[in-house]
Formats: sequence, structure tokens, C-alpha cells
Amino acid sequence: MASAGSGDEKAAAAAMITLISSDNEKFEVTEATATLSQTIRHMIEDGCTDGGVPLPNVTSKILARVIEYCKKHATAAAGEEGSSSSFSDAAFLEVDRAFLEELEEFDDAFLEVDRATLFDLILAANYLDIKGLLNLTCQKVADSVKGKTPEQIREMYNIVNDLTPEEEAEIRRETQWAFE
Amino acid sequence: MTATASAARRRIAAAPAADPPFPDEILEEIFLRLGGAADLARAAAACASFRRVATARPFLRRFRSLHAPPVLGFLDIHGFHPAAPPHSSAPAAAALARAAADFTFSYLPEPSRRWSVVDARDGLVLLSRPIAGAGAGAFADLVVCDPLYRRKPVMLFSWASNRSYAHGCFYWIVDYSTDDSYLLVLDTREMKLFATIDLPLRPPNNGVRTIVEAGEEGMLGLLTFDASAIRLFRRTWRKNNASVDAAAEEEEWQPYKTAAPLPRKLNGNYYDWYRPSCAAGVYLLVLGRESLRNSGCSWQYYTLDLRTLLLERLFVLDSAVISSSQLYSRFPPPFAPPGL
Repeated sequence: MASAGSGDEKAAAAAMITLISSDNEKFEVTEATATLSQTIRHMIEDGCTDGGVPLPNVTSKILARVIEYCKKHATAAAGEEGSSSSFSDAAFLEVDRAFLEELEEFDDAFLEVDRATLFDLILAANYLDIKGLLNLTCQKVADSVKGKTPEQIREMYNIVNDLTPEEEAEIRRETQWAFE
Repeated sequence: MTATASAARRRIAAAPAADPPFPDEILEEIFLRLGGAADLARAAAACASFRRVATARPFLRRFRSLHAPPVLGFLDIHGFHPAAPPHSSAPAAAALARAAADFTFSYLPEPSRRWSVVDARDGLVLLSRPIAGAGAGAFADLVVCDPLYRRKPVMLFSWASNRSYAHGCFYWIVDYSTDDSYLLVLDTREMKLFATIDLPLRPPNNGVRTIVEAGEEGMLGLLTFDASAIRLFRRTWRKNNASVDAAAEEEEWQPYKTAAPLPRKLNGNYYDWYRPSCAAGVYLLVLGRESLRNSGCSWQYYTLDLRTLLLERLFVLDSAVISSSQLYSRFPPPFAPPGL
């Protein structure tokens, strides 16, 4: 599947980009990996990636995880392109399904992080505009509050209740159905 | 939920929750992925910033577009039957009753028993009743009711009232407030009601808007008139016969064409322009009242070509029938095949 791309695509895939974390660590990644980030894609299109891309909002620890995600998903994207050209071949569809399952397992394992890391990943995904990663991480937080009471949500996320008693009573009254 | 949103907003720099340290846009992304309205309501009760984000109108609009509303019950000739326990919607359905929702439509004009439910969509109910004396049910009064907000706008119209028609659908523009209006769509092919198309802001100075066909099938046009310009916007309406799909829902009105405003003064005489009354294909009928210098007036019927926004005078009359004019378009013989 990987060899299905045209010569141009191969050249693009081979181009390397240097990402520089807030603590000045450098990461060499392929353009295919880096362009999962719309922010970086635009920088490449504008031709301002010579000398590396400084990412002052992302630490090396988080950037390493983000790159891990992008590498895996960039491979997945390349795989999809390859298989679509041989759509009639049932064997390829089979490979695809296996690969998607593997990707899902990867995502699940990827989310096995502490809360602080999860929040940093969300901020990084938002800053770098990586749709898949933002979706994955935000969904994780959303799932964690499913069916929880406001008290439980506050406890889970160290949230200070800064609503006045009157406001809180009003919310409860307006949305009583959500508390039954 | 929105009643105290402004109160929360007024609180100056409410102590930001230390954790999570998210800007509003990320809170939105998280809230959009919650399981449904009940999860959102509970999250909104956690702290002031959650509440502010969860009750903001643009956010709620996005939330509603991503989450199917719960089924709260059903309507039949006996009235409304709320979801009963153990259905998961039962508490929400009970909330409807507490909110004094009126599914008897008792406020409709008499005789109320003649009104029958035609459709229900987006929380609105379409009812019709035959017009007394009209032949063989060809004409009907139509009413759109919001059972939950019966004091809010209830729109009454019959087929002859002010509306637009394009691509097999009737359109009514509904202005809820100065910054929120939407398009009510009645699909005549399926007798289905949509109320889901947001409109751009109302043009200033009592400018008017009307819905037209914008070129090929599948494109819907919005024409606005105000003191500064005539503007035509358009957006994808639907492909073939399929109903509004998710992709089209997300599309915005795109500026398409702009032309000079309807003139206040023409040939030395002053003009008052009336709301465009009817469209026939690419033509819109526009009526202008010309005040003559020697007192008195004349009524000028213009066509507006939606392809070019060219205004052309069609006819002049001493008196006008403002609401019931219909354009008649047809190729002249020998190019017009018989219609019957």
C-alpha cells in the first residue's frame, strides 16, 4: 500500500521538518506527519519552516506524544489512499479493517495518561489544529463526565463552585429534568 | 437556561477555575461531545464559566445541530401524549407539562376542532384547517405553533399570505429578535416542515429580505433590499430530492451578487418601495409607489432579474393591489408548448 503513491507524493513524504518545543528540543518529522497539524501545514504552504518551526506553547514531553499520534495517523492516511486505488480488491479491504482496529487500539492506549497530560494534549491539539487529536482528547473528557452530577464533576476536575446559591438554585429549577 | 446567562456574564472576571485551565473554545469542543442535553445541563451547573459557555446561543445552536433532540411524546387527534416512565425522556417530558406547554392549541382561532396536526418538526407543530367556502380543500389555513412558548410568535397565514416560493418549497422568514431569525420551510412535495435554516443579520433601516431561486436547482437565494444596496446571497439547499443533509446545514449564505439600491428618486419623482410580492423563476415582482410632483401618485410594477439584478419597469397603474399580484412567465408562441 505504501508504494501506491506517485513519485511526487514520495518526494513530499520524504521532506523533513524540524519542530522545536518550548524547552528548545528539536524533533525531526516527515512532512506527512507534520501536516496533520493545520497550523504547521499553513506554515509550510507559506514557506516559513526553514530553520525549524518553533512551538513556544508545547513542551518537549507533550510534543513527543503529539508526534507519536501524528506518525501513527499519517501512516493510516497513507494506507487509506493506497487502498482506495485498489478498492475492488477484497484483500485490501480486509487489511484496512485490521488496520483501523489497530488504530483504535493505539488511540485507546494513547489516552492512558494522567489528567494533566490529557489537558496539555488538548491545548496542544487546539494550538496545532490537529482535528483528530482534538476530537480524541475532548471526547475522553466528555465521556468522563457522562452521567455525573455537578458535584462529581467538580470533584473530578478540581473545579471551584463559583456560582452563587441563588444561581445554582435557579439552574436546578430550570433543568430539574436533568437531575431526576 | 438562558435567563441568567447574562447575570453570569456580568460577574466581572469570575475567579477562573484553576483546573481545567481551558479557554472557552475548548470547553465548547468538550461540551459538544457530551452525551446529550442532560449531561450538558449538569455540566452547566458545575461552575460559572461552564454555565456561561453551555448557555451561549451560538454554542447551543452548534450543540443542537449535532445532537438529536429527545422524543418527548407524540401527537394524535386526541392531543399530546408525553413520554412516560421508564422511557429515558420521561423526566424531560414532565418538564414540558411544568413549563405549561399547550398541546391543545386552545389559543387558535375558532372553531378550534377544525384544526388538525399536519406535521411536527424542530419542536414546532404545523396545523391546518380548510378555508370555509374554498373549493374542495384546495386552500387551507396553516398555522405554526410552538407548544412550549405559546406566548412567543405564533404565525398565522393562509396560502395567499406573504411568502416566497422556490424549488418546490414555501418559505417564511421568521424574526425572533433583532439578532436571531430563521427560515421556515414547507416542502410541498413531502408536506414536511423545516425550521432549521439560519439567516444572516437583518438589513438595517427596515430593509426587507425575501427568498428566491438562485440559478440552478439546489441553490437557494436570499435577496435583501436596504438603503445601500440590493444584495443576493446564496447557499446550497439540497441535492436532487433528498432532504436537507448535514453538509448543507453547515453551509453559510455566501454573497453572490450586489447591485445599486432601489432608487429613492427617479425622473425627479420620489419612490416608496414595497416588499417584493412574488417570484416566478428568475424574476421577482417589485412594486414602487411614485409620488408625482402635482400631488397624486402612480404604481410602478418592476421586475428584478435575479441573474443580473437588473430592474425593469413592467407596468404602471393608477391604483395597485399590493398583495395578490402574480407574475405570469411563459415563452411566447411558437416556443410555448400547451400547458394542458
